[in-house]
Amino acid sequence: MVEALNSHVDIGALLDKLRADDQGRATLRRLLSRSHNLYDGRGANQVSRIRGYILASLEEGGPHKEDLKFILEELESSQDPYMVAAAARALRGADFFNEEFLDYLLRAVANIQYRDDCITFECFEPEWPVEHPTSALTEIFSTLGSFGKNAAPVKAHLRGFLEQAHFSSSIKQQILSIIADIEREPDAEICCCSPPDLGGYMEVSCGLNGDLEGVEVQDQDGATLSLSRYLSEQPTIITFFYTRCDNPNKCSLTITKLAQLQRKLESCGQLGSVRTAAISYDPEYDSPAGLRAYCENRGFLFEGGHRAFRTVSNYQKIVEFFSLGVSYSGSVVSQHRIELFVLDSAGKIKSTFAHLQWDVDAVASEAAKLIR
Amino acid sequence: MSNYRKRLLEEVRRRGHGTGDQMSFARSAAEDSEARFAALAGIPGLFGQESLDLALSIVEEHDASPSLRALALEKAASSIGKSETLIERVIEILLDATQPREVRLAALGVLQVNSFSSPILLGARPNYLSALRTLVSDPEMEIRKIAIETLALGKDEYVQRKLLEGLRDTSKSLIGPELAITFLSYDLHAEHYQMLREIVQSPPNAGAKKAAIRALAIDPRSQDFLDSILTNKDEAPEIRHASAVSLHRVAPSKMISSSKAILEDSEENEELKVALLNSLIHVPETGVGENKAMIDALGEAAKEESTKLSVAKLRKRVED
Repeated sequence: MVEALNSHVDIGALLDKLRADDQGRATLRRLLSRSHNLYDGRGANQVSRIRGYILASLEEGGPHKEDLKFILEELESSQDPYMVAAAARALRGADFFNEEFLDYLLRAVANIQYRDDCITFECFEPEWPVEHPTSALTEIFSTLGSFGKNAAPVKAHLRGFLEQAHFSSSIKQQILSIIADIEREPDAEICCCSPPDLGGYMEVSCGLNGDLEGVEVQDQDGATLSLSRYLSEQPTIITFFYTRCDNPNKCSLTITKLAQLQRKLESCGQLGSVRTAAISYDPEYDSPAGLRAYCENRGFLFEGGHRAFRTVSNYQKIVEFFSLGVSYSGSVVSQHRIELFVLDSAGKIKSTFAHLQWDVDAVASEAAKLIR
Repeated sequence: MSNYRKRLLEEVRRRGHGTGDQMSFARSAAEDSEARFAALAGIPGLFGQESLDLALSIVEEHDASPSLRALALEKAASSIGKSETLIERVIEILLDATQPREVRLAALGVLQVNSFSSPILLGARPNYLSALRTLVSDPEMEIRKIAIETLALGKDEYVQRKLLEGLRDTSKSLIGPELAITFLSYDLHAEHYQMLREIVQSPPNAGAKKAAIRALAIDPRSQDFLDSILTNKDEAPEIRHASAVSLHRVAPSKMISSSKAILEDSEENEELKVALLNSLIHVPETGVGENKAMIDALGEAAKEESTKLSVAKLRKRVED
């Protein structure tokens, strides 16, 4: 039913209907994946509005543990105040706590503090002025406040925020209230019942979604080759990016970290045994010269089998094989998740790092297991 | 201003009584607006609480001339940026439709300046953006345009929604279609490419058509569409050239081959040929030798005197 809709008015009415009860919210969860065809043809702001509205609705009834990856990725990497506010609100509804939540909320403060915005979740497409506005920072600190004594580990950070000129008096009042709650009954036991294992969202999966036969790619030097042949020669670490990404915490950081990963492999004497490759989400725009410049500027080493690619045929096969978390409006990327894959020398996916920022050492460790 | 008052002001300045007396002059509601304006304009900067209080008292003087009140706001801009309370008050003035246009524009200017320089305004940013969104339908057109453009530069969802709505239904348009298209093009992730192609095919006016063609320069899927406009002899030369420029962004080789075909076609419009040649000599894909050959070929084939003159200028440019 939801896939058949293509008008914003219909979407808003449906989302309001579904978020009203638990069964509806279960349906909404399926729509959080960026690759859902509901987002086909929608621009970045529209995808954010839909996904943010859904995330915010999870406050009531509380998010499930499988929702955490969508919540935490926004807090960790997003620079969109609407998404950050929605994620903070969703987290506030959780009936479980993990001390790592505090780090994610602090990262969200760092990402959003200079670009906060006036937000409302009272309706899908509000008209301005709105009656009960909130903001991303307000939602973040409300969530921190909801943790009560559990927020004690970040008390020093909170005191530091009070010294910052760019936090408004109302935000500082919120912070003071959080600190007061923390300091009240300082010896009371901090609750950490049933902390979910956040585990970095490393998944183990095989390439069950078709194959890459017939997929041709072009590298940073303009050379074309078969992707399946490239992947069948050595274990390969593949990540996805595009040069027109406007979030520095995503594609730019991904390539920078891929370059760091290369250096890690080099230090372990494994740079010749494992390949690294970056594939563009935007093959119609990202030219070989553009790929080379973007990656070189971030320290990527183009030697041996280490390359940047754009697809010249059968791009949809790549999307399906890797189950890419990306949506498009025409040829332009609307939104995408952070994703990295480790493949064995037969071209099978052995590990997936998705949603959250992947750790260089963790990826290197997974790749090392595949070296004969 | 009367001659007496002019002499008095000059005397004050000459005697070096300086800012203090100018401030008193500016503050005094008994003096005429022109004299007060001149006194305030002559103050190089507002230093200290007393000066700020003076400026703010003039801003709140509803019977004073709008230009004087606006000037007081501008003079106090930097100090306003250091106070959350004052920033909120300036936002209130901006949103108050009963305030004179000049005063509201000055308020908007103060906020814009401080959006670059004031950390305090960062804290008030949610209120500032909320105010701008409220202003996208303001009856004062200049304020409306500034608000829309400021939001569009920030890739604001609300203003994009409103601009798209206005392009789909002209009864809801907030600004002219050319400006709406230009503001939408500030965000390559806005979902407007199909609409832009429709506007090119059925434009409300020539300006909107050209703006839509320019905006398609970042959409690789529009390359065949842009090429079809470039090669369509029924289109105006200006439109065809605009298509060539946009086409070069997404498909340089296609633009070059189609442009060269036009240059070699003796039936083609010479004005267009000159414009295309001017573009071709500036693209990195063509070399100096090739450029000279194209210029010489057009010069030999030119029928219009204006074309020959233009070719001569191009030849000189390439040789230089």
